[in-house]
Amino acid sequence: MAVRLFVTGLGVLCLLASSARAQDPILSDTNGDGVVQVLALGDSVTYGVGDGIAPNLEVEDLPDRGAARGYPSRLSRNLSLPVTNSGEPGEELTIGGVTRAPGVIQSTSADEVVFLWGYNDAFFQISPGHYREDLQRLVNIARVTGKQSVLVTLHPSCCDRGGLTGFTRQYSNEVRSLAAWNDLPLFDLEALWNQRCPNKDSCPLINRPEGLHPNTLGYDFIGYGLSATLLGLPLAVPEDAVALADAIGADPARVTTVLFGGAAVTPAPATGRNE
Amino acid sequence: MVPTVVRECVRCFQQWILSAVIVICIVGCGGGGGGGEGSERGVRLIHGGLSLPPVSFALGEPGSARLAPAVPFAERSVGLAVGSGAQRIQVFTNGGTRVLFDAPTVLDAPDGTVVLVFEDGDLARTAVFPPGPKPAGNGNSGIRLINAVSGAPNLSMQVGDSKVTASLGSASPYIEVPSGVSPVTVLGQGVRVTLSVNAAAGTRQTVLLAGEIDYFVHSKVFEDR
Repeated sequence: MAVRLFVTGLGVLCLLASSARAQDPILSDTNGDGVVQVLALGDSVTYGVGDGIAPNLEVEDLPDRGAARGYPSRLSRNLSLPVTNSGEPGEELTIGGVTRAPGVIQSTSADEVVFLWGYNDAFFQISPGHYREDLQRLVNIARVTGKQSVLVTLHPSCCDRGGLTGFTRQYSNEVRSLAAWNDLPLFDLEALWNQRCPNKDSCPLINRPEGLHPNTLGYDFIGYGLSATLLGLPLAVPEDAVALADAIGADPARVTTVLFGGAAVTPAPATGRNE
Repeated sequence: MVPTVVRECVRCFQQWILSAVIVICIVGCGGGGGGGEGSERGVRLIHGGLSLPPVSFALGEPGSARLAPAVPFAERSVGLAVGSGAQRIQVFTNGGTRVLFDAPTVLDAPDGTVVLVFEDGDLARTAVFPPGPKPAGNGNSGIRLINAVSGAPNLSMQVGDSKVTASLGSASPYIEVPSGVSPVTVLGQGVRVTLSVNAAAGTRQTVLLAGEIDYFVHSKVFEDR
Protein backbone atom coordinates (compact mmCIF):
# COMPACT_ATOMS: atom_id res chain seq x y z
CA MET A 1 0.00 0.00 0.00
CA ALA A 2 2.82 2.35 0.91
CA VAL A 3 4.60 1.56 -2.34
CA ARG A 4 1.39 2.13 -4.30
CA LEU A 5 0.82 5.48 -2.65
CA PHE A 6 4.43 6.47 -3.22
CA VAL A 7 4.40 5.56 -6.89
CA THR A 8 1.00 7.12 -7.45
CA GLY A 9 2.13 10.27 -5.71
CA LEU A 10 5.34 10.32 -7.68
CA GLY A 11 3.38 9.93 -10.88
CA VAL A 12 1.09 12.81 -9.99
CA LEU A 13 4.04 14.98 -8.98
CA CYS A 14 5.83 14.17 -12.21
CA LEU A 15 2.71 14.98 -14.22
CA LEU A 16 2.34 18.29 -12.41
CA ALA A 17 6.01 19.06 -12.91
CA SER A 18 5.76 18.11 -16.55
CA SER A 19 2.75 20.30 -17.22
CA ALA A 20 4.27 23.16 -15.26
CA ARG A 21 7.43 22.93 -17.33
CA ALA A 22 5.44 23.08 -20.55
CA GLN A 23 3.84 26.34 -19.45
CA ASP A 24 6.74 27.83 -17.59
CA PRO A 25 7.22 31.51 -18.22
CA ILE A 26 10.34 32.37 -20.14
CA LEU A 27 11.27 35.21 -17.85
CA SER A 28 13.89 34.29 -15.34
CA ASP A 29 16.75 35.92 -13.52
CA THR A 30 19.39 34.03 -15.44
CA ASN A 31 22.31 36.11 -14.20
CA GLY A 32 21.17 35.94 -10.60
CA ASP A 33 21.37 39.68 -9.94
CA GLY A 34 17.95 39.71 -8.34
CA VAL A 35 16.26 41.57 -11.18
CA VAL A 36 14.65 40.22 -14.32
CA GLN A 37 15.51 42.56 -17.16
CA VAL A 38 14.86 42.52 -20.87
CA LEU A 39 16.88 44.01 -23.72
CA ALA A 40 14.97 44.82 -26.91
CA LEU A 41 17.25 44.87 -29.95
CA GLY A 42 16.19 45.92 -33.39
CA ASP A 43 15.44 48.79 -35.73
CA SER A 44 12.79 51.50 -35.93
CA VAL A 45 9.99 49.06 -35.13
CA THR A 46 11.72 48.32 -31.84
CA TYR A 47 12.52 52.01 -31.29
CA GLY A 48 8.85 52.84 -31.77
CA VAL A 49 8.71 55.02 -34.86
CA GLY A 50 5.05 55.62 -35.67
CA ASP A 51 3.92 55.26 -32.10
CA GLY A 52 1.51 57.82 -30.73
CA ILE A 53 -0.54 57.90 -33.92
CA ALA A 54 -4.12 56.74 -33.68
CA PRO A 55 -5.56 54.22 -36.13
CA ASN A 56 -7.42 55.58 -39.13
CA LEU A 57 -5.26 58.67 -39.41
CA GLU A 58 -3.74 59.05 -42.84
CA VAL A 59 0.03 58.98 -42.56
CA GLU A 60 2.28 59.38 -45.58
CA ASP A 61 5.67 59.71 -43.89
CA LEU A 62 7.04 59.36 -40.41
CA PRO A 63 9.94 61.07 -38.73
CA ASP A 64 12.91 58.80 -38.18
CA ARG A 65 12.94 59.53 -34.50
CA GLY A 66 10.87 60.83 -31.69
CA ALA A 67 10.88 59.55 -28.18
CA ALA A 68 11.81 55.89 -27.95
CA ARG A 69 8.77 53.89 -26.91
CA GLY A 70 7.15 51.21 -29.11
CA TYR A 71 6.64 47.69 -27.82
CA PRO A 72 9.44 47.82 -25.20
CA SER A 73 7.54 50.38 -23.15
CA ARG A 74 4.39 48.24 -23.33
CA LEU A 75 6.36 45.16 -22.33
CA SER A 76 7.76 47.01 -19.35
CA ARG A 77 4.32 48.20 -18.32
CA ASN A 78 2.60 44.86 -18.89
CA LEU A 79 5.18 42.79 -17.03
CA SER A 80 6.35 45.38 -14.49
CA LEU A 81 10.01 44.93 -15.26
CA PRO A 82 12.76 47.04 -16.79
CA VAL A 83 13.04 46.81 -20.56
CA THR A 84 15.85 48.58 -22.40
CA ASN A 85 14.91 49.90 -25.81
CA SER A 86 17.91 49.34 -28.09
CA GLY A 87 16.16 49.93 -31.37
CA GLU A 88 18.08 51.89 -33.98
CA PRO A 89 15.92 53.45 -36.70
CA GLY A 90 17.15 52.76 -40.21
CA GLU A 91 19.49 49.98 -39.15
CA GLU A 92 19.81 46.72 -41.04
CA LEU A 93 20.53 43.58 -39.04
CA THR A 94 23.13 42.51 -41.57
CA ILE A 95 25.11 45.75 -41.62
CA GLY A 96 24.85 48.01 -38.60
CA GLY A 97 23.00 45.62 -36.32
CA VAL A 98 25.37 42.69 -36.42
CA THR A 99 28.21 45.08 -35.66
CA ARG A 100 26.49 47.07 -32.91
CA ALA A 101 24.71 44.28 -31.10
CA PRO A 102 27.61 42.27 -29.63
CA GLY A 103 28.75 45.22 -27.54
CA VAL A 104 25.22 45.95 -26.39
CA ILE A 105 24.60 42.33 -25.48
CA GLN A 106 27.85 41.97 -23.58
CA SER A 107 27.42 45.20 -21.65
CA THR A 108 23.83 44.67 -20.56
CA SER A 109 22.69 43.07 -17.34
CA ALA A 110 19.52 41.90 -19.07
CA ASP A 111 18.47 38.29 -18.74
CA GLU A 112 16.43 38.09 -21.92
CA VAL A 113 17.23 39.59 -25.32
CA VAL A 114 14.38 40.13 -27.78
CA PHE A 115 15.38 40.28 -31.44
CA LEU A 116 13.02 41.93 -33.92
CA TRP A 117 14.97 42.95 -37.01
CA GLY A 118 14.93 42.92 -40.76
CA TYR A 119 12.64 45.61 -42.17
CA ASN A 120 15.57 47.64 -43.50
CA ASP A 121 17.29 44.48 -44.73
CA ALA A 122 14.16 43.92 -46.80
CA PHE A 123 14.59 47.36 -48.38
CA PHE A 124 18.04 46.28 -49.57
CA GLN A 125 16.86 42.78 -50.50
CA ILE A 126 19.45 41.09 -48.30
CA SER A 127 19.36 37.35 -48.89
CA PRO A 128 17.47 35.32 -46.29
CA GLY A 129 20.55 33.14 -45.78
CA HIS A 130 22.69 36.15 -44.91
CA TYR A 131 19.97 37.38 -42.57
CA ARG A 132 19.79 33.97 -40.87
CA GLU A 133 23.53 33.70 -40.35
CA ASP A 134 23.81 37.12 -38.76
CA LEU A 135 20.85 36.51 -36.47
CA GLN A 136 22.41 33.18 -35.48
CA ARG A 137 25.66 35.00 -34.66
CA LEU A 138 23.81 37.25 -32.24
CA VAL A 139 21.88 34.35 -30.73
CA ASN A 140 25.17 32.55 -30.13
CA ILE A 141 26.76 35.62 -28.59
CA ALA A 142 23.75 36.10 -26.32
CA ARG A 143 23.88 32.48 -25.20
CA VAL A 144 27.56 32.37 -24.35
CA THR A 145 27.16 35.60 -22.39
CA GLY A 146 24.36 34.07 -20.34
CA LYS A 147 21.32 35.61 -21.98
CA GLN A 148 18.17 33.93 -23.21
CA SER A 149 17.22 34.96 -26.75
CA VAL A 150 13.61 35.50 -27.73
CA LEU A 151 12.94 35.66 -31.46
CA VAL A 152 10.13 37.56 -33.15
CA THR A 153 8.93 37.18 -36.74
CA LEU A 154 8.27 40.30 -38.82
CA HIS A 155 4.81 41.76 -39.33
CA PRO A 156 3.79 42.19 -42.96
CA SER A 157 3.96 45.61 -44.53
CA CYS A 158 1.24 47.07 -46.69
CA CYS A 159 0.15 49.92 -48.90
CA ASP A 160 3.09 52.10 -49.97
CA ARG A 161 5.58 49.54 -48.66
CA GLY A 162 3.69 46.38 -49.48
CA GLY A 163 6.59 45.28 -51.69
CA LEU A 164 8.70 44.53 -48.65
CA THR A 165 6.50 41.66 -47.61
CA GLY A 166 8.16 39.22 -50.01
CA PHE A 167 11.40 39.56 -48.10
CA THR A 168 9.98 39.99 -44.60
CA ARG A 169 8.02 36.77 -45.12
CA GLN A 170 11.24 34.93 -45.98
CA TYR A 171 13.01 36.44 -42.98
CA SER A 172 10.14 35.30 -40.77
CA ASN A 173 10.59 31.77 -42.07
CA GLU A 174 14.27 31.98 -41.17
CA VAL A 175 13.37 33.23 -37.70
CA ARG A 176 11.04 30.27 -37.18
CA SER A 177 13.77 27.87 -38.29
CA LEU A 178 16.31 29.45 -35.95
CA ALA A 179 13.87 29.26 -33.05
CA ALA A 180 13.32 25.57 -33.73
CA TRP A 181 16.97 24.67 -34.26
CA ASN A 182 18.12 26.60 -31.20
CA ASP A 183 15.15 25.62 -29.06
CA LEU A 184 14.33 29.27 -28.42
CA PRO A 185 11.07 30.96 -27.51
CA LEU A 186 9.35 32.50 -30.52
CA PHE A 187 6.72 35.20 -30.78
CA ASP A 188 5.19 34.63 -34.20
CA LEU A 189 4.15 38.21 -34.78
CA GLU A 190 3.62 37.64 -38.48
CA ALA A 191 1.14 34.82 -37.90
CA LEU A 192 -0.78 36.70 -35.20
CA TRP A 193 -0.81 39.84 -37.37
CA ASN A 194 -2.12 37.89 -40.36
CA GLN A 195 -4.87 36.47 -38.19
CA ARG A 196 -5.81 39.94 -36.97
CA CYS A 197 -5.46 41.58 -40.37
CA PRO A 198 -6.46 39.26 -43.20
CA ASN A 199 -6.81 42.35 -45.39
CA LYS A 200 -3.47 44.13 -45.11
CA ASP A 201 -4.54 47.33 -46.85
CA SER A 202 -7.18 48.04 -44.22
CA CYS A 203 -5.23 46.81 -41.20
CA PRO A 204 -5.88 49.10 -38.22
CA LEU A 205 -2.53 48.19 -36.63
CA ILE A 206 -0.28 49.98 -39.09
CA ASN A 207 0.20 53.53 -40.24
CA ARG A 208 -1.37 53.85 -43.66
CA PRO A 209 -0.51 54.48 -46.40
CA GLU A 210 3.04 54.61 -45.00
CA GLY A 211 2.65 50.87 -44.61
CA LEU A 212 5.62 49.78 -42.48
CA HIS A 213 5.49 51.14 -38.95
CA PRO A 214 2.82 50.12 -36.48
CA ASN A 215 0.64 52.84 -34.97
CA THR A 216 -0.30 53.07 -31.32
CA LEU A 217 -2.70 50.17 -31.64
CA GLY A 218 -0.09 48.13 -33.50
CA TYR A 219 2.49 48.63 -30.78
CA ASP A 220 -0.13 47.69 -28.19
CA PHE A 221 -0.70 44.55 -30.24
CA ILE A 222 2.99 43.66 -30.32
CA GLY A 223 3.35 44.45 -26.62
CA TYR A 224 0.49 42.15 -25.66
CA GLY A 225 1.67 39.39 -27.96
CA LEU A 226 5.21 39.46 -26.70
CA SER A 227 4.04 39.65 -23.10
CA ALA A 228 2.06 36.46 -23.64
CA THR A 229 5.12 34.76 -25.12
CA LEU A 230 7.34 35.76 -22.21
CA LEU A 231 4.71 34.61 -19.73
CA GLY A 232 4.39 31.28 -21.53
CA LEU A 233 0.74 31.92 -22.37
CA PRO A 234 -0.85 30.83 -25.65
CA LEU A 235 -2.61 33.37 -27.89
CA ALA A 236 -4.66 31.32 -30.30
CA VAL A 237 -8.21 32.25 -29.41
CA PRO A 238 -9.91 35.25 -27.74
CA GLU A 239 -10.19 33.35 -24.46
CA ASP A 240 -6.39 33.37 -24.33
CA ALA A 241 -6.46 37.17 -24.40
CA VAL A 242 -8.62 37.13 -21.28
CA ALA A 243 -6.07 34.95 -19.52
CA LEU A 244 -3.31 37.32 -20.61
CA ALA A 245 -5.27 40.33 -19.36
CA ASP A 246 -5.73 38.58 -16.05
CA ALA A 247 -2.01 37.85 -15.83
CA ILE A 248 -0.92 41.42 -16.51
CA GLY A 249 -3.77 43.17 -14.73
CA ALA A 250 -5.27 44.73 -17.85
CA ASP A 251 -8.83 45.20 -19.06
CA PRO A 252 -9.83 41.87 -20.67
CA ALA A 253 -12.17 43.52 -23.16
CA ARG A 254 -9.48 45.85 -24.39
CA VAL A 255 -6.78 43.18 -24.64
CA THR A 256 -9.18 40.91 -26.50
CA THR A 257 -10.19 43.66 -28.90
CA VAL A 258 -6.62 44.74 -29.61
CA LEU A 259 -5.48 41.19 -30.30
CA PHE A 260 -8.51 39.72 -31.98
CA GLY A 261 -10.53 42.69 -33.22
CA GLY A 262 -14.22 43.21 -32.76
CA ALA A 263 -15.56 46.31 -31.16
CA ALA A 264 -14.04 49.70 -31.80
CA VAL A 265 -10.90 50.23 -29.80
CA THR A 266 -9.78 53.31 -28.00
CA PRO A 267 -5.99 53.16 -27.95
CA ALA A 268 -4.36 53.51 -24.62
CA PRO A 269 -2.07 56.49 -24.34
CA ALA A 270 1.42 55.55 -25.38
CA THR A 271 4.04 55.63 -22.69
CA GLY A 272 7.74 55.89 -23.17
CA ARG A 273 10.86 56.44 -21.20
CA ASN A 274 11.12 60.02 -22.46
CA GLU A 275 7.55 60.95 -21.78
CA MET B 1 -17.35 -15.41 -7.13
CA VAL B 2 -14.03 -13.68 -6.57
CA PRO B 3 -13.31 -12.91 -2.94
CA THR B 4 -13.27 -9.23 -2.07
CA VAL B 5 -9.68 -9.38 -0.89
CA VAL B 6 -8.56 -10.75 -4.28
CA ARG B 7 -10.54 -8.11 -6.19
CA GLU B 8 -8.95 -5.43 -4.03
CA CYS B 9 -5.53 -6.90 -4.62
CA VAL B 10 -6.06 -7.01 -8.41
CA ARG B 11 -7.34 -3.40 -8.38
CA CYS B 12 -4.34 -2.40 -6.27
CA PHE B 13 -1.98 -4.12 -8.69
CA GLN B 14 -3.64 -2.50 -11.71
CA GLN B 15 -3.30 0.94 -10.16
CA TRP B 16 0.32 0.29 -9.28
CA ILE B 17 1.09 -0.80 -12.86
CA LEU B 18 -0.71 2.27 -14.22
CA SER B 19 1.25 4.56 -11.91
CA ALA B 20 4.51 2.85 -12.81
CA VAL B 21 3.78 3.23 -16.53
CA ILE B 22 3.09 6.93 -16.02
CA VAL B 23 6.35 7.40 -14.15
CA ILE B 24 8.34 5.45 -16.73
CA CYS B 25 6.73 7.45 -19.51
CA ILE B 26 7.51 10.76 -17.85
CA VAL B 27 11.07 9.82 -17.05
CA GLY B 28 11.51 8.48 -20.57
CA CYS B 29 10.13 11.64 -22.13
CA GLY B 30 11.77 14.05 -19.71
CA GLY B 31 14.22 16.62 -20.87
CA GLY B 32 12.96 16.77 -24.40
CA GLY B 33 14.97 16.31 -27.53
CA GLY B 34 18.15 14.40 -27.07
CA GLY B 35 18.01 10.88 -28.22
CA GLY B 36 21.02 8.86 -29.07
CA GLU B 37 23.49 7.71 -26.51
CA GLY B 38 26.55 9.24 -25.04
CA SER B 39 29.04 9.40 -22.27
CA GLU B 40 32.08 11.24 -21.09
CA ARG B 41 34.27 9.01 -23.22
CA GLY B 42 34.55 8.28 -26.91
CA VAL B 43 34.45 10.59 -29.91
CA ARG B 44 33.14 14.06 -29.11
CA LEU B 45 32.20 17.08 -31.18
CA ILE B 46 33.14 20.67 -30.39
CA HIS B 47 31.10 23.45 -32.01
CA GLY B 48 33.24 26.44 -32.89
CA GLY B 49 31.25 28.07 -35.71
CA LEU B 50 29.84 31.41 -34.62
CA SER B 51 27.26 31.71 -37.39
CA LEU B 52 26.12 28.11 -37.15
CA PRO B 53 23.08 26.75 -35.31
CA PRO B 54 23.56 23.76 -33.01
CA VAL B 55 25.52 20.90 -34.58
CA SER B 56 25.12 17.16 -34.16
CA PHE B 57 27.15 14.23 -35.39
CA ALA B 58 26.70 10.56 -36.11
CA LEU B 59 29.10 7.65 -36.19
CA GLY B 60 28.55 4.60 -38.34
CA GLU B 61 26.62 3.66 -41.43
CA PRO B 62 23.04 4.81 -42.00
CA GLY B 63 20.66 2.44 -40.32
CA SER B 64 23.09 1.56 -37.58
CA ALA B 65 24.67 4.97 -36.95
CA ARG B 66 24.60 6.43 -33.48
CA LEU B 67 23.73 10.11 -33.11
CA ALA B 68 25.03 12.56 -30.54
CA PRO B 69 22.47 15.27 -29.68
CA ALA B 70 23.13 18.70 -31.14
CA VAL B 71 25.25 21.15 -29.20
CA PRO B 72 25.28 24.93 -29.52
CA PHE B 73 28.23 27.19 -30.25
CA ALA B 74 31.20 26.81 -27.90
CA GLU B 75 29.91 23.59 -26.39
CA ARG B 76 31.06 19.98 -26.57
CA SER B 77 28.86 16.99 -27.23
CA VAL B 78 28.62 13.80 -25.28
CA GLY B 79 31.00 11.10 -26.42
CA LEU B 80 30.15 8.23 -28.71
CA ALA B 81 32.26 5.18 -27.92
CA VAL B 82 33.44 3.11 -30.87
CA GLY B 83 36.22 0.69 -31.62
CA SER B 84 39.30 1.77 -33.53
CA GLY B 85 39.31 1.60 -37.32
CA ALA B 86 37.40 3.27 -40.13
CA GLN B 87 34.20 4.99 -39.11
CA ARG B 88 31.80 7.04 -41.17
CA ILE B 89 31.43 10.42 -39.52
CA GLN B 90 28.54 12.66 -40.42
CA VAL B 91 28.11 16.18 -39.06
CA PHE B 92 24.79 17.99 -39.34
CA THR B 93 23.39 21.40 -38.59
CA ASN B 94 20.22 23.38 -39.35
CA GLY B 95 18.10 20.88 -37.49
CA GLY B 96 19.72 17.97 -39.32
CA THR B 97 18.92 19.37 -42.77
CA ARG B 98 22.42 20.54 -43.67
CA VAL B 99 25.31 18.11 -43.86
CA LEU B 100 28.63 19.72 -43.01
CA PHE B 101 30.77 16.61 -43.21
CA ASP B 102 30.26 13.06 -44.36
CA ALA B 103 33.32 10.88 -44.83
CA PRO B 104 34.89 7.65 -43.66
CA THR B 105 37.62 8.43 -41.19
CA VAL B 106 40.18 6.16 -39.62
CA LEU B 107 40.10 6.48 -35.85
CA ASP B 108 43.24 5.01 -34.33
CA ALA B 109 42.31 6.08 -30.82
CA PRO B 110 38.60 6.90 -30.73
CA ASP B 111 38.49 7.62 -27.02
CA GLY B 112 39.29 11.32 -26.83
CA THR B 113 39.09 12.00 -30.55
CA VAL B 114 37.62 15.43 -31.30
CA VAL B 115 35.43 16.37 -34.25
CA LEU B 116 35.82 20.14 -34.49
CA VAL B 117 33.35 22.26 -36.44
CA PHE B 118 34.70 25.71 -37.22
CA GLU B 119 34.43 28.43 -39.80
CA ASP B 120 37.04 29.72 -42.19
CA GLY B 121 35.56 32.89 -43.63
CA ASP B 122 32.26 31.90 -45.20
CA LEU B 123 33.10 28.21 -45.17
CA ALA B 124 31.97 25.83 -42.45
CA ARG B 125 34.66 23.20 -42.02
CA THR B 126 35.20 20.08 -39.99
CA ALA B 127 38.44 18.65 -38.63
CA VAL B 128 39.02 15.38 -36.80
CA PHE B 129 42.01 14.98 -34.56
CA PRO B 130 43.13 12.30 -32.14
CA PRO B 131 43.69 12.73 -28.42
CA GLY B 132 47.08 13.81 -27.21
CA PRO B 133 49.24 11.91 -24.74
CA LYS B 134 48.47 11.99 -21.07
CA PRO B 135 50.81 14.02 -18.89
CA ALA B 136 53.90 12.04 -18.15
CA GLY B 137 54.99 13.72 -14.96
CA ASN B 138 53.59 12.49 -11.70
CA GLY B 139 51.14 15.06 -10.32
CA ASN B 140 51.17 17.07 -13.53
CA SER B 141 48.35 18.00 -15.87
CA GLY B 142 48.17 18.98 -19.54
CA ILE B 143 46.71 22.06 -21.23
CA ARG B 144 46.22 22.47 -24.97
CA LEU B 145 44.63 25.03 -27.27
CA ILE B 146 42.04 24.51 -30.01
CA ASN B 147 41.86 27.31 -32.55
CA ALA B 148 38.36 27.85 -33.96
CA VAL B 149 38.69 31.57 -34.56
CA SER B 150 37.82 32.37 -38.14
CA GLY B 151 40.42 34.72 -39.57
CA ALA B 152 43.13 33.68 -37.11
CA PRO B 153 45.52 31.43 -39.04
CA ASN B 154 47.59 30.83 -35.93
CA LEU B 155 47.13 31.34 -32.22
CA SER B 156 49.78 30.81 -29.61
CA MET B 157 49.19 29.83 -26.00
CA GLN B 158 51.64 30.56 -23.25
CA VAL B 159 51.59 28.81 -19.89
CA GLY B 160 54.53 29.68 -17.69
CA ASP B 161 57.61 29.50 -19.87
CA SER B 162 56.05 27.10 -22.34
CA LYS B 163 54.44 28.13 -25.57
CA VAL B 164 52.52 26.17 -28.21
CA THR B 165 50.75 27.14 -31.42
CA ALA B 166 47.53 25.98 -33.02
CA SER B 167 46.58 26.75 -36.60
CA LEU B 168 42.95 27.35 -37.49
CA GLY B 169 40.97 24.16 -37.10
CA SER B 170 43.59 22.28 -35.13
CA ALA B 171 44.77 21.55 -31.62
CA SER B 172 48.15 22.36 -30.18
CA PRO B 173 50.22 19.81 -28.28
CA TYR B 174 49.58 19.71 -24.56
CA ILE B 175 51.74 21.82 -22.32
CA GLU B 176 52.56 19.83 -19.22
CA VAL B 177 52.08 21.92 -16.10
CA PRO B 178 51.96 21.27 -12.36
CA SER B 179 48.44 20.56 -11.18
CA GLY B 180 46.48 23.48 -9.78
CA VAL B 181 45.64 26.87 -11.22
CA SER B 182 47.68 27.96 -14.23
CA PRO B 183 47.45 31.41 -15.79
CA VAL B 184 47.08 31.04 -19.54
CA THR B 185 47.53 33.67 -22.25
CA VAL B 186 46.39 33.14 -25.83
CA LEU B 187 47.73 35.53 -28.42
CA GLY B 188 47.24 36.06 -32.12
CA GLN B 189 46.79 38.92 -34.50
CA GLY B 190 43.87 40.82 -32.99
CA VAL B 191 43.43 38.25 -30.21
CA ARG B 192 44.55 38.46 -26.61
CA VAL B 193 42.78 36.29 -24.06
CA THR B 194 43.93 35.63 -20.53
CA LEU B 195 42.31 33.08 -18.29
CA SER B 196 43.03 30.69 -15.47
CA VAL B 197 42.84 26.95 -15.91
CA ASN B 198 42.38 24.79 -12.84
CA ALA B 199 43.64 21.30 -13.60
CA ALA B 200 43.75 18.37 -11.24
CA ALA B 201 46.73 16.03 -11.33
CA GLY B 202 46.65 13.58 -14.20
CA THR B 203 43.96 15.45 -16.15
CA ARG B 204 44.12 17.16 -19.53
CA GLN B 205 42.39 20.42 -20.31
CA THR B 206 41.44 21.95 -23.65
CA VAL B 207 41.20 25.71 -24.03
CA LEU B 208 38.83 26.43 -26.91
CA LEU B 209 38.93 29.79 -28.62
CA ALA B 210 36.05 30.19 -31.06
CA GLY B 211 34.49 33.01 -33.02
CA GLU B 212 35.60 35.51 -35.61
CA ILE B 213 38.64 37.71 -35.59
CA ASP B 214 37.96 41.42 -34.98
CA TYR B 215 34.34 40.61 -34.16
CA PHE B 216 33.70 38.23 -31.29
CA VAL B 217 35.96 35.63 -29.69
CA HIS B 218 34.85 33.37 -26.87
CA SER B 219 36.99 31.13 -24.70
CA LYS B 220 35.96 28.01 -22.86
CA VAL B 221 37.84 25.31 -20.97
CA PHE B 222 36.91 21.65 -21.25
CA GLU B 223 38.36 18.78 -19.30
CA ASP B 224 39.45 16.01 -21.65
CA ARG B 225 38.90 12.39 -20.75
